Amino acid sequence: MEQLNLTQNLHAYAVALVTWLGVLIYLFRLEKMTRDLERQVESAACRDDEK
Amino acid sequence: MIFNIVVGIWITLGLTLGFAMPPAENLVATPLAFLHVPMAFAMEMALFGAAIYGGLWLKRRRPADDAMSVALAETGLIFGLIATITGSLWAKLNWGAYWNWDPQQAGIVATLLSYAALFAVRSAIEDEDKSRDLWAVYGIIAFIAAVFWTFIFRRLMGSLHPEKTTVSSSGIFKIALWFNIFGYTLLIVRVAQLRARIERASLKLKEISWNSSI
Repeated sequence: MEQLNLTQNLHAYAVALVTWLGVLIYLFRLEKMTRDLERQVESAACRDDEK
Repeated sequence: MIFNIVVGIWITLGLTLGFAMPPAENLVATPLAFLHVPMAFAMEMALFGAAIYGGLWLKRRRPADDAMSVALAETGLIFGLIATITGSLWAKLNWGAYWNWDPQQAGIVATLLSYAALFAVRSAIEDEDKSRDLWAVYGIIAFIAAVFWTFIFRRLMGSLHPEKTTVSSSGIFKIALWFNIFGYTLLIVRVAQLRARIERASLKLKEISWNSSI
């Protein structure tokens, strides 16, 4: 198959990097969101028990 | 957190392998190959998992199974969208146009639309148990349809997508590809687990606020 020119290559590398970074940011933000929400549930359950 | 770090390192190594651009048979060599194909595979795995957990909900009636089914379908849909976008960029390099109405391209659009409809149906039904039942049944049917659209339809119609790239390309291409497929499958499992935990925590929070209001 034919080789890509420099611009096409740079474009493909940039898309791959942005996708990879986006996926990683999403993963770690999701982890943080999950932990925050679970903490909220725990404290709400404690408040409920105290009542 | 450790799982996240392992997944992060795995897909970073996969990206590095992809950046070396090992040649694929009958296709232009590009790092996009190592995002598009693994994400499409991971999508299929997630949709399969969604159907399995839907079946488990029907059998065991555990909300956790339903939450996992929804999370897997949702994550599969996101990955499917990314696979479609990166695939159309690669299609431009291979075949000169972003969209060729190739049976494989039409098939992935049909799959994504059927899952979007599934989410619409779920959100339109107020009775929780009924909505979960419908989701589970429709999820199993949608997965069977997805297999048809993404694996069988292209073979029936003939496709621009080469038939045996994943098995007949060079050894280094196959290693890089399967390394990435495994990495993105791990990623989709992790994301779905987190989404299911969020769903379960939200339900619990709703339950607590309901109990304290009465």
